Amino acid sequence: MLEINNIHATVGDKPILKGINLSVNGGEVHAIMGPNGAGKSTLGNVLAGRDGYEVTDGAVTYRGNDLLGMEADERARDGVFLGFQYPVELPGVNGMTFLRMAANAVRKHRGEEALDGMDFLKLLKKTIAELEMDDALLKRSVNVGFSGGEKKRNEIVQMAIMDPHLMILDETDSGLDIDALKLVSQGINLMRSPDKAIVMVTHYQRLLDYVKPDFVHVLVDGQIVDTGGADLALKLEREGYAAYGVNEAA
Amino acid sequence: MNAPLFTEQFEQIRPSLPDGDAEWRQVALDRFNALGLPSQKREAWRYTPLTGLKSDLTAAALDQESIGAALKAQMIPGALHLAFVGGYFVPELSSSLEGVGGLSIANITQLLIDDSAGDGDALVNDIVLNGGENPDEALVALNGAMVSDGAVIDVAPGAQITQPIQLLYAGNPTGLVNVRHIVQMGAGSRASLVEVAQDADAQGWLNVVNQIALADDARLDHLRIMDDGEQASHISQTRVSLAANARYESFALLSGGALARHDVQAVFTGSGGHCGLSGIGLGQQKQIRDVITHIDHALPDCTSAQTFKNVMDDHASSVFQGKVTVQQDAQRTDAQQSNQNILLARTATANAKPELVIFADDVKCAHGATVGELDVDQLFYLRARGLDEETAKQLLVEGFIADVFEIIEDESLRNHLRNTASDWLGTS
Repeated sequence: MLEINNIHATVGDKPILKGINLSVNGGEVHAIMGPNGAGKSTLGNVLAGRDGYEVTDGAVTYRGNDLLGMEADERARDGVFLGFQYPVELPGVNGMTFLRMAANAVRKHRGEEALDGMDFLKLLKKTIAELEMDDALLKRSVNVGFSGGEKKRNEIVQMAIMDPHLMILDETDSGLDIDALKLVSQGINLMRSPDKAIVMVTHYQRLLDYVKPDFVHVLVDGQIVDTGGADLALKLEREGYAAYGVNEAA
Repeated sequence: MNAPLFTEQFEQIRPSLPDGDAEWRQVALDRFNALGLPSQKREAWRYTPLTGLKSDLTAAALDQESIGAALKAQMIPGALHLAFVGGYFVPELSSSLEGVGGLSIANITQLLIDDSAGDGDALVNDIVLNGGENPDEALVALNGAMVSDGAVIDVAPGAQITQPIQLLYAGNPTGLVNVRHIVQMGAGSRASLVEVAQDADAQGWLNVVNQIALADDARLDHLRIMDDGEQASHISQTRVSLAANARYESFALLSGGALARHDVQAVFTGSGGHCGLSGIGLGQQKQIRDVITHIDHALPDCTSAQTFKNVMDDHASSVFQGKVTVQQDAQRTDAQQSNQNILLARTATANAKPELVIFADDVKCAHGATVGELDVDQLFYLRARGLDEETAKQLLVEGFIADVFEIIEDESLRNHLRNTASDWLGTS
């Protein structure tokens, strides 16, 4: 699914990623943990193709193609989904219209017919029921006036509608109360399947109680310094990152 | 002194104008010639050159059939249509008023002819020679000299006209067309007026003057679409007076033509009134979208709200000169003004000049102006959801202007204007 090979990246000339290697196969869930400033969000943004994140070395292969050679929107249509840490408010952009445009952009890319209003509504109703989400939010402008939890749940609705292959979820658990965390986790778990992969970037272990990872990676100062199973996250929760030379209190 | 600009052309076209040899036409032309064409040294015209103003007044031979077809395509279903082709009212393309109570519509030049034959110049002085007395108003004076036609719309006291009254302009391939409308809203009456200039073949100048008077408790919703072809210029000058508790709501979409200028001056002649002016300017290439307003809070307890948004691309420029005067007696005035601009290219320009002149002390006044680009985080968010850059930009621009349309109360008119803007954006 995804092969990251020795990626170096800078943000505004400042080196952030310093040689990342990661291999993700279909059906797997990976968690990337690390202290603040380690480069977790940068990795997500580099994979999603955000402007201002310059890859200076290395390569990324996604489903056999050169990911870094694709534009951000092309990656999204090809099945790479970035769940935002801070979903952006879009005043005046209707949630329903936005979702349908996103869904149809993906469908067109896959050679499928665009969904008309009625067919889209059917799909949306079904998706929302599965996710136990509230469709009232979708009648408003995208994310405008939403609570932190509502924004994250909206990300999950977008993810389900776009039906991606690779999901990169950046701090999706931040700002969620326990009920919202459960709903969001349930949404992520519904997306798990043998032909899909999930990479969760998170600061805390609690999301991993609900979405159990196959691999946990520790990212420190732009490099993956340790890899283990789900139990590694528990150990990090107990002991922090001191073992990797990080003093989080500083 | 300014050389007489249009004297020769005026003499040529005069015989073909209704009441062409009337003295008042000469008075108005003399007034215009004395004022001269406003130069860009005048603040009100600083951003808008009139150098290209056509002096060719010869009416081109018009293909009535194709114009009729084009006009029909612009007609809003369910509205009362008043069609003006080449500056002349065309009854065959217009609606019958049969069965519409409380509304009378007359032909302005016919009234003037009748008046000339009658007992004096009251009508002439009230109408044609009203305005156009200072250098910024030169085009109002020119309109007085050259006016070919216009509607006199009288809404009877208490009448509630539910059908929008739509004024359509077409058939101006080269020259200068001068149209003048008089709208009189009787006490407690209500109506909506929609002006549409959407002639793709227009390349001339359209110079429209509206004189609107609202009696006590009257309400007029006044919508305007300035969406002519690329070479056209459209200057619209609206003068409004509002008696006690009257309400005037104006919305203008400036989306077509090389130049679209929307000039509104409103004065409260009674207390308790409300004047709302709003609009959207969309420009590309070297187009100019010019909004100039003056609301005169002459009396207490009146409110005004202005919301104008512009989106300029390429080398286009927008102008917002919004002036609010609060006179000494106008206590408890509430005047709000907002102008927001998005520039889609570094070469585009927004000129924003809000101006408050306040002589009273118990007032609430606010104005704000912003100029910016599309937000990069919003753009990335949309692209991360699979939308290509062009579509993402269109969606953000549509979102930026979306709330201005909400001011339009009538849903079908709101959708009509929104669709016109979507056509411009390519999102329809």
